[in-house]
This record gives sequence, C-alpha cells and structure tokens, in this order.
Amino acid sequence: MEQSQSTYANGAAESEVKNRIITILTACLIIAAAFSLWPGGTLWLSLTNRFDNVLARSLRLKAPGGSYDTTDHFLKPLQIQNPSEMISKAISDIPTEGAVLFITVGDDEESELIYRTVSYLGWPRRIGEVRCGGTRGPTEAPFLPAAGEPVKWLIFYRIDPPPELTQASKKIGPRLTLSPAPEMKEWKLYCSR
Amino acid sequence: MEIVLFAVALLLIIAAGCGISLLSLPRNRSTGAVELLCLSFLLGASFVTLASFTLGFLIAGWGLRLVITACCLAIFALGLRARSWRFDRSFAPPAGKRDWALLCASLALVGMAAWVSSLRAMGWDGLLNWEFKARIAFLNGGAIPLSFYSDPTRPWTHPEYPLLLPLAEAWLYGWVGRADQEMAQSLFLIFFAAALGLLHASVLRFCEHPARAWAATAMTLLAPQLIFSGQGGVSSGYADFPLAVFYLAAVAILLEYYEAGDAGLLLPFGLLAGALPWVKKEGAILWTCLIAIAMIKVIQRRDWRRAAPIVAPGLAVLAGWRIFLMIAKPSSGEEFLPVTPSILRSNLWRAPQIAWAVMRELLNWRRWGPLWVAVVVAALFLIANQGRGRRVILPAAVFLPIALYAGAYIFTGWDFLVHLNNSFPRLLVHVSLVAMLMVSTAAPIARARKDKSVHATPEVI
Repeated sequence: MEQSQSTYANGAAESEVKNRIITILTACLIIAAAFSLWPGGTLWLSLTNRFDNVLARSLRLKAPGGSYDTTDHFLKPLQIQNPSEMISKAISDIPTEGAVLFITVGDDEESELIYRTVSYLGWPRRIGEVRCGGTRGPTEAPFLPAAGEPVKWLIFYRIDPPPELTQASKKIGPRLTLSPAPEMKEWKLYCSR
Repeated sequence: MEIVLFAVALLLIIAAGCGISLLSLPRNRSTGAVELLCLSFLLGASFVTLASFTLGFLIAGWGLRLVITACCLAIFALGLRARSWRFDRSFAPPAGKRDWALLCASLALVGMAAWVSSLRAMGWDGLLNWEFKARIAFLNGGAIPLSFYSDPTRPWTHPEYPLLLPLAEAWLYGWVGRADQEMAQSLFLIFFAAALGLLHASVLRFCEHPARAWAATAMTLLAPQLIFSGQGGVSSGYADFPLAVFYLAAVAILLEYYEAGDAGLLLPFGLLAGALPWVKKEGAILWTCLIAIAMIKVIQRRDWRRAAPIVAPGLAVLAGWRIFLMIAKPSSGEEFLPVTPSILRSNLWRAPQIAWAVMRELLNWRRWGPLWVAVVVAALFLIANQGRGRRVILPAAVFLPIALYAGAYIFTGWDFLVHLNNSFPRLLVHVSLVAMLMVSTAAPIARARKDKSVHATPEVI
C-alpha cells in the first residue's frame, strides 16, 4: 500500500512539474510571438502604436453626442451646425407622397454616406439616388423609386441645380440644396449643365 | 425621468427572460445570480423582439407595449410559480472577496467600454442597417411597416436581416419616448456586461481554479477589436457582438450538457441557439454548427425525443422569418452566388488565397492581440489533456464556424479578397467570446490542482 501511495505521489508531482513547465513555455511562446509579430517589433513602438490606435484616434474621431450622435458625425462634410436637426427640419416640409431624388457627383464613399444618412433622416419619404458621372465614372442611378412614382423634390449635393430650378431652391449649408422637381424629367437630365 | 423609463424597459426584458430561464433551466442546476441575470437578458430580448414582431402586425403604439408588458410580467410570474414563488439558494449572489473583486473589475471594464462608446460614433452598418430599422419601428408604433421591405430606394439597409437588435432598440425607444442613437449604443454595453458575466460563470463552472475567471476578463482587453476599435465591436452598433454573446451562452450550456449529461439543459440550449438566426443572418450558420454538435450526443444516446427541444426553436425562427420574407419580398440584392457543385469547381482556385488571408487576419495583432495564437495553443492543450466534452465542443465551436465562414467566400459574387477583408474581422467577433472561454478553460493550472486531489485520495485509503 505504502509503495503504491508513494508511486502515486511521485506520479502526481511529476505531472505537476510537467504542467508547470508547459505553462511557462506557453507563456514564453505567447510573449515572444507578441513581441515579434507586433508592428514595429519593439515594446516601446508597440505601446505608442497602441496609444495612437486606441486613444488618440478615438479622441480625434470624437462623436458630437446626443440623439443624433452618429448622423451628426456622418454629416460633418456638410459644414453646418447640428446637421441632422437642420436636415430633418428641412425635409419635414416635404410631403410623404411622391419620391425625392438625391443627386450627387461621382460614387465616392463620402457622397454615398451623406446620401444614406439623408435618406435615414428623411424616412418615410422614398429618397432615390442619382450619381452624375463626368470624369469620375458613368452617370448611374443605383436606387430609384418605383417606376411610375412621381419625383416631387430634389436634393443636390456638391452639385449646382439646373438654372431653371435655382429660383425655388433652398440652400442647406454650402453643399446641399433642396429644390422642388419640375414636371416629368428624365433623371439623367439633372446631371446636365 | 428618461433613465427611469429606460430602466423599466430593461427590467421588463429581464423579467420575461428570468421567467423563461426559471421555466427552462433544470431545477437542480446551481445558477449564480449574475449568470441568471445574463441569461435573463438574452432570453428576454429574444422574447420581447419576437413578440414585437408578431404582435406588431395586429396592434401598435401603447397597445402593443401594454400587451408585451403584460406578457413579460406573466412569464415572470409563471417562472416564479414553477419555483414555488421564491429564488432558492442555488441562485447565489457573489460570495467572498475574490468574487466581489471580479465583479468590480468587470464593472470597471464595462465603464471603460462606455467611455470608448461615448467617444465613438456607430459604424455605417450599425446606423444604417440596424439602428435605422429601430427608428422606423419606433416612428411606426413599435413595428416595421411592410412597405419598408420592398422600398426600392433602400435596399442598402438590408431589409432581409433579422430583427432582434432593431426591435430591442425600438422597445427602449418606445418606453423612453424618442429615438436616440446614443441610447442604442448603450444597449451594447448591456450585451458586453452580459458577455463578461457569462464568461465568468462558465469559467467558474468548468474550472476548479477561480483565477481563470480573471483570465477571461483580461482577454477582453487584449483583443482591441472588441472594445476599442473596429467594426463589429461593442461601440460599433453592429449585430456581431450581440450574436457572439448569444453564441457564448449557447455553447456554455451545450458544454455543460456534454459534461453533466443532464437532458434538462437541452431546452435552454435550444432556446439560446434558436435565437442566433434572429440576431443576424450568420446566426443560421452558428445554429447549424451547434445543432450538429448537439445531435452527436443525441445520436449516441439514441434518445430521439431529445432532438425536439434542440432543433424546434431555431427551426421555428428560421422558417418563420423565411416565410415572412417570401411574403414581404425585400428589395435587396444577393451578395453570394448559389452554392452549387459547378460554382464550387469554378471558384475553387480562390481557396489558397482565402486560407492565406484568414491566417493573416488571425495574426492581425492590432485587431486581435495574442487571442488567436492563444486559441491554437489552448486547442492543443484541450485535445491533449482535457475530458472528451471539452476536447470536442470548444475547438469545434470555434474552428467549425471559422472554416464555414472562410469557405463562404468561395461563393461570393464580389471581389472575394475585398469582401473577405471587409467582413471577415466582424465574423471572427462571433466566435471570439467562445475562444476566450476555451483559452481560460484550457490553461494547465487546474490540471495541477486536479493532480493534487488525485494525490489526496490514496492517503485516505
């Protein structure tokens, strides 16, 4: 009995030592991998990188806060105060019957984000999108209202409305213009100068 | 006043979830108060949103809110009745200095996540795919109108995405009385707190050494993608993190079923797994993985009746949502090509590049820190040292979805590498919490303790 007990104890102790060695080796491996794979390769660089990524960038991207925290952040390129409230107020005058077209230049990410955010604020109005091409690409309309639904209003972003519409149009900051749509016009014609 | 109304909305979710937990968890199972709270939040959110969706076709506004409130309280009462109107001692609060210290550390982590959230706006998809629907539901009296799904000017909102998150946000908006993007972000902090609570509870359940619970907490800090940066994290407003929390809860209960063999655990497992497809489309893949793993045990035991509670909730959600989409005819386009042998053959050349891109992402230190390196080491430990349940369940629950997600890019209709680089980091969030559980469970510290206990037995003889 004594012999088996001591064999058992030795086995357990050996196993414990083995496990400790495995733990230490694993920890060393993870630490070594951390230092070698981390961009920059040194502890100092990695710490500064992390500070930049985590804190400094977050502070630079600081959202304005409030009910429209994210939409205000997305609408910063419009260069207006409280852009979400301004746009909501402007669009609230548009009746919900009939569609709206958002007309912009090119298909860059910023224009797309502005279009979608305006569409967000404009619910329940259906707001389609026309991307005027020019040198940056073909003119296209990825999201048009259903065929037969009349377009009653136009929103121009970074593009001037045609001269015949300027009289009735209303500026929302330096980049956005809201204008009633003329009777039945092919959407491509809004891009022509 | 707003904070009181927010608290009421949240408490109603928890009350409904608590009732479901009390009804579905086995009576002899020891469930800590924190774990019960976390499970209650998840199950309650599923119930309230499913009720909002189904009842929203019939009633709206205050009527809808009152009916759901009555249902929440009734379920809570039913749950209490099933437990003879009292919480027994098995729902123990944290005991001892170590438990309370861990709770404080977790609260500090949630506080840090709240601070980061306050600095960051939601991501594109967080606002435009998820919160937008919550706003629409709120403006429409608690339910999304059918006209939204077929609106040809808004296919970019992905109307075919499931609604747990938007309707949970809309529930809060309804009670507070206004749509608020910051309030929507605060819901994710509750999911984060639930994730921490479930990690602690699971680690303590499966491991003898309480120090491991600290490891799980620490690991959430090591993966910047979760708290600090990146799409799909706590502050982004995406459904990926809530999906990860549901997945963690389901995996933890499945693992417990494998280890304890208590068939009573299959119902709560089925309910939690069944909520996965209701959180996000990819939840259907996670659900399939879990059902496959659970069915292995059912087949081994040849107890076919047990398959019903496992499969039925998820199947009901999937089929119900599918039927609804067939009726609503959403206007969004397909991102993926049909999964056919001919497309597989013609796109198979993508596989090596996908594998390489996946490896690069797993080793992306800025997003994941040492998490995935630790996961690989942990998997090796588990396979070598641990019991059969853990050895199979945890690695399978982590690596099977990763493999399926990676394989899906063979069928993408977009530029597959651009698609992968854009979306794969978010998909890894789904399994990251289970990966943390696996690392905490696998470390050899408890093995040493176990050896000591084995050592003690012969001395008694």
